[in-house]
Amino acid sequence: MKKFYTSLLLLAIALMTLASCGGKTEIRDDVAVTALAEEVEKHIAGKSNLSPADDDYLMFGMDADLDKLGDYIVKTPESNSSIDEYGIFKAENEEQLEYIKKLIDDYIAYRIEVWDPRYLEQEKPKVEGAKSKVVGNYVVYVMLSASERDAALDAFEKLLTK
Amino acid sequence: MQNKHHSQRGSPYRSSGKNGQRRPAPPNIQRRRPNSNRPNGRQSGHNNGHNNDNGDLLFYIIIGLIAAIFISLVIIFSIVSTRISYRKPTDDTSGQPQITNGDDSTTTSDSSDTLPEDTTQAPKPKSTILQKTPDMGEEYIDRIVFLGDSTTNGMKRYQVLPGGRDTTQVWTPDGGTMTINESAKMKIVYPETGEEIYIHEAAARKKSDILVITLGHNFYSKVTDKEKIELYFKAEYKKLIGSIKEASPDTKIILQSIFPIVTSVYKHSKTISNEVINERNSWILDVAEEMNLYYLDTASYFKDENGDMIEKYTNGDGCHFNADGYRRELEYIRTHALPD
Repeated sequence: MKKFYTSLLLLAIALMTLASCGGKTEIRDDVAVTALAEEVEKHIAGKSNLSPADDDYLMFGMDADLDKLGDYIVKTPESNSSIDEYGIFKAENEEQLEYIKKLIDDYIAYRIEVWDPRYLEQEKPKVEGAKSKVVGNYVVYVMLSASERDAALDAFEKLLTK
Repeated sequence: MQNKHHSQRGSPYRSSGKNGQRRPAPPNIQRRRPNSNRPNGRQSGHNNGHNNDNGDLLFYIIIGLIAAIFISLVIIFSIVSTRISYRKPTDDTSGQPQITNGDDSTTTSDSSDTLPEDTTQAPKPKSTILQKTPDMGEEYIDRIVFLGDSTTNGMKRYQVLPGGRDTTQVWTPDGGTMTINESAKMKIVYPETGEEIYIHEAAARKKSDILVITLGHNFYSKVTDKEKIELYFKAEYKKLIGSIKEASPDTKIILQSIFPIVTSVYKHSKTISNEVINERNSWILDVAEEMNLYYLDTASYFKDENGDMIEKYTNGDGCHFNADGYRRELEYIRTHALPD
């Protein structure tokens, strides 16, 4: 009996191995940032209030070196009644990827630090809950409500994984 | 002697035969290997028990090795499953970062922190700062639309303009506040219709005689270099003004100073102080000069001897006016009118 159960256990391990290998997740590298933006925006109720930020915003508002951003799209609100914002970046190499990741982390920390309490108190959770995600050589950050944030990040990841 | 058919049970070998010698197996009898693995574990001969223990041990060792190999494979596959693929670096075709100003000129900003060249505009007014005039009365105020952030939005709340809360002279976003960052693409609530439309669209529709802009309290810039901050602040202001001028060229635009705060009361923001406000007002004055506009130094009408906001004109938060504060602002505007 002992040998039977042991064999059974080994068979289970073998099957699990095959399943994990067979279902190996591959990450796409051929998705345009605009396509990702379209996918992310499906989960943002106030998407009509968003439009691309100009490069001055990235250079000065985010302190970004545009030459190190690869391909990108950053959208900011057209009305300050909401602070919804997101950005998607596609790095060209590992160095850019690391740069973008740090840029985003520093930017989110900065926005939290300088948040003015006079300014739309109800929007503050979006800044404090802002998150970023890295999938392959893509980076996304979102400043959205918690439900929209999670849905947007999931959609981003799903489009990039096979 | 006749051959006898031996039972197939038991070893054909006996531990001892006649005279202690092994007897060869008779013909036509299947030999059974010692310690055969029969389901019932039936042993034959006293050596089978010991041999079975060794067999079990070997079995478990093999099983353990196979399990370890499978687990290792899982770990290896999970490590290599995240692939990062790279494109070949493209040729660097980017030039120096450019800032687009509102008047179609561009200012170059590079990492060497050199100041951009000042763009010289058309002939400047004799004095950019609006000087004291006789009180031009309510008729003068009626010609004005006020564009701004929450410090302007309060004009509706305190009903200091014709129309009270429904005045058509206040342009602020739906949330009642506004940053100078990206202001050129911002929407305001167009009072006549209640729609949210772009500022330049509102300017095109209204074509107001005078537009007083009060912006700059709300501004953020992650760069720490002061010159770059100034460059960015001014550029954003210029873009806004440029978009309005293009939409309504005949509208007389006046840039109003942003107002001081009561330092002892307003301690919430880490980014705003009277020192910062004074600095930004000097930038706003520069923009007015560069773009051939007028500047209202209303802030001077609200400062006490320490440069703080006179507290009695605020609503208690150290920043925003109360009704008296707005009336004082309008009084200053009436008595520092455009030199029509």
